[in-house]
Amino acid sequence: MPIKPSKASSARKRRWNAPPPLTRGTETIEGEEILDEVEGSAGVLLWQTIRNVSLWTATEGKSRGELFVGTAAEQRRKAAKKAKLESAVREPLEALSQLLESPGGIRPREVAAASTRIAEWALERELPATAQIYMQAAALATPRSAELALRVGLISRSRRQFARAESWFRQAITLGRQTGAWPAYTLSYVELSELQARRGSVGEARRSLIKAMRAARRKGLTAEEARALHALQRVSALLGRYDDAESYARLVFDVYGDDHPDVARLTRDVAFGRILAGSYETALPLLRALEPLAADPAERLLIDGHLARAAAGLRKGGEFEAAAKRVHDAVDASPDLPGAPAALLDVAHGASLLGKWAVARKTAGRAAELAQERLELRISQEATALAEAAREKKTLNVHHDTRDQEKPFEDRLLETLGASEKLATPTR
Amino acid sequence: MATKKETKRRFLKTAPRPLFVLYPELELQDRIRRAGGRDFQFQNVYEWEMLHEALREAPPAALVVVDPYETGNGRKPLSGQLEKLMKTFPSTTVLAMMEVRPERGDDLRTLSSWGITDIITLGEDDTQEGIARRLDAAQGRPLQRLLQRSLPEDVSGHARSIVVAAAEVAASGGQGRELAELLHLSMRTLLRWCERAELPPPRRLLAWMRILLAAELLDDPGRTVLSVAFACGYASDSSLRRALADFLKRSPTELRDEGAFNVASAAFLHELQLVKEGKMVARRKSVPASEKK
Repeated sequence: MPIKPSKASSARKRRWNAPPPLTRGTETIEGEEILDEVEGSAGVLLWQTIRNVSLWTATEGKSRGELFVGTAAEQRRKAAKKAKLESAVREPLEALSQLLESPGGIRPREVAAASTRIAEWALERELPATAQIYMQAAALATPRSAELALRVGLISRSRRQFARAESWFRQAITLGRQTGAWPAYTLSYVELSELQARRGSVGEARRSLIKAMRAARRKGLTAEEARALHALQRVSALLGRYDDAESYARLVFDVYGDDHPDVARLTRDVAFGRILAGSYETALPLLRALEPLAADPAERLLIDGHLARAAAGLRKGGEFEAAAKRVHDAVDASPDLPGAPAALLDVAHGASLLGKWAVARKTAGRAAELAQERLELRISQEATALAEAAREKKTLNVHHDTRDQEKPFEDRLLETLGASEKLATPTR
Repeated sequence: MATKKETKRRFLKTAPRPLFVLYPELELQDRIRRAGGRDFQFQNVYEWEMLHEALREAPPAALVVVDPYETGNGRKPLSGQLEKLMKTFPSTTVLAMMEVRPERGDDLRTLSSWGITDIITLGEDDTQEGIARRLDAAQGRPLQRLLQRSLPEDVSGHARSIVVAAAEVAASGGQGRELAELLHLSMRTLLRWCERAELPPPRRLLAWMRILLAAELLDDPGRTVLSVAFACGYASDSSLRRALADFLKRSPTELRDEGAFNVASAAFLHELQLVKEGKMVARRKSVPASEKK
């Protein structure tokens, strides 16, 4: 349902309206996924409650008083007593039953707070559909909250409902701008850029991140600025803007410092940028250093994928084979691991660099298939193109090192001397 | 600025929607009639056969409210007649009016699998205001659901939101102006939004929605081509044939054989792709007078 722009919005702000966020997916009856996630009477109770909330939020204030039958609250309380509910969810459900008792009296903020508590409980219990619909109800109850809109977007994305997530991130951006909620505004742009890059609109993603970075800088939001810069590093590398990627990485590192938990991820992203730039020799040591540190299986998978590609780029067949085997084993053991299509794509690129065309074709095909399933369109397109190129025994995206000016000065001198025999033997 | 309900009221005066009610209790029948108000043409039906007959000629904006359970005493099962109705007219917007007890989770899931659009809960939101809201929210849901399923993932959330709103407006017989009002925009801004979202202009988008609605109805085995034409507001079946030939290069019979909605949605997606690639103009250079507010 569309969220009405505030009466206070001036003509100047009107251009910041966004299309109404998507509130429904492909489900037939509103909230039916709750019944799949939570069995028995507790599920029915949660389903009834969310429908009460959404009916209430969709109704203008003065008409709310006549929405529900007078005796409904008492019936609901009885049903809640019979259903065996944890206290974490019983209390907010009790609060929401006031909707039935005095729909004209309860305040939107109270409805949003109770709905958020149920959503948080559902997230803890790994009930994503329940969490999504309750968080959305909270956001709709307080339609000026950019933070809640952002949280709906994040949950929608985790459920792989990317279009719905995008519509909520855009809503959060609009609201953040209108209400001055700058952290939510900045982070929503960062999250939006991830979706744009995923569907292959990398240029759009970069533009979103630049807006995020500028807003964070203007408002002195250091942590948000670092997140925007980190994402910009990745996107710049994907766009072939390797110098920019390196500059952003340095800026992020300055903000992160030594102890930040994301330094390892930054290192991996820098290594990946260098692989894309064709600078395998500088990427490989970084990845080798990261390998023993990675405890998270998904992170390890990505590192192994990059290792395979970098090793192949340096013609280290043994190291490529070992890393490729680790990637295949990990994906076979748990195909749902995040990053599986990306890691397989790296292995396919590596095989292609080594002229192992059959391996490249097969692995790229598998990467494309997995990426298609997960709606990772950028990877799916690249993997399909790589498989096609491998069929014709050609490599794809052979990048040249454009980072010469970034190398230490002495390295560049040595390289220049080594490049010419005349210069290699200096004369007096 | 008009509220959503006011917007609907304004354009629905020209397109009254039938509201078929198959429910035994007189008091509830009366409450539904009052909830529908002037937006709906209330029609009481007494048997499932009558409802089948009525739906054969009904426009896509028609709504149906039924008791989903078999009549009789004791523990009643869900009605087999309702299941049959949903198989014959899958595109119809049907609301079930029932008491929701804690043990009825499975019944709710079954109703969902049959394609029931919404539930009106007896003893809870079956007030006049509550029913009015449920009827209002059910508008265009079947087409919106089909569109959500068929739109590919590279269609942005931005575009998807506009398309979903357009489906709601088209299902109620609205035009570009109503779409703009539903989104709280001027026509000029709506045109710009469509352009930014890589969609055809509003008028073309709504024309597509009507084609998709007609295709959705053609997939209902219970309807004739003539009834689909009348239901979608075409003067005759030859008008529908011309529109389908213009947009889809196929006759209604050919469409039925191939799966009408699948063919129509593929053609719509192809046009979206052309707009995206710039091979089709997303926006005319000057705003025509008819599209100016």
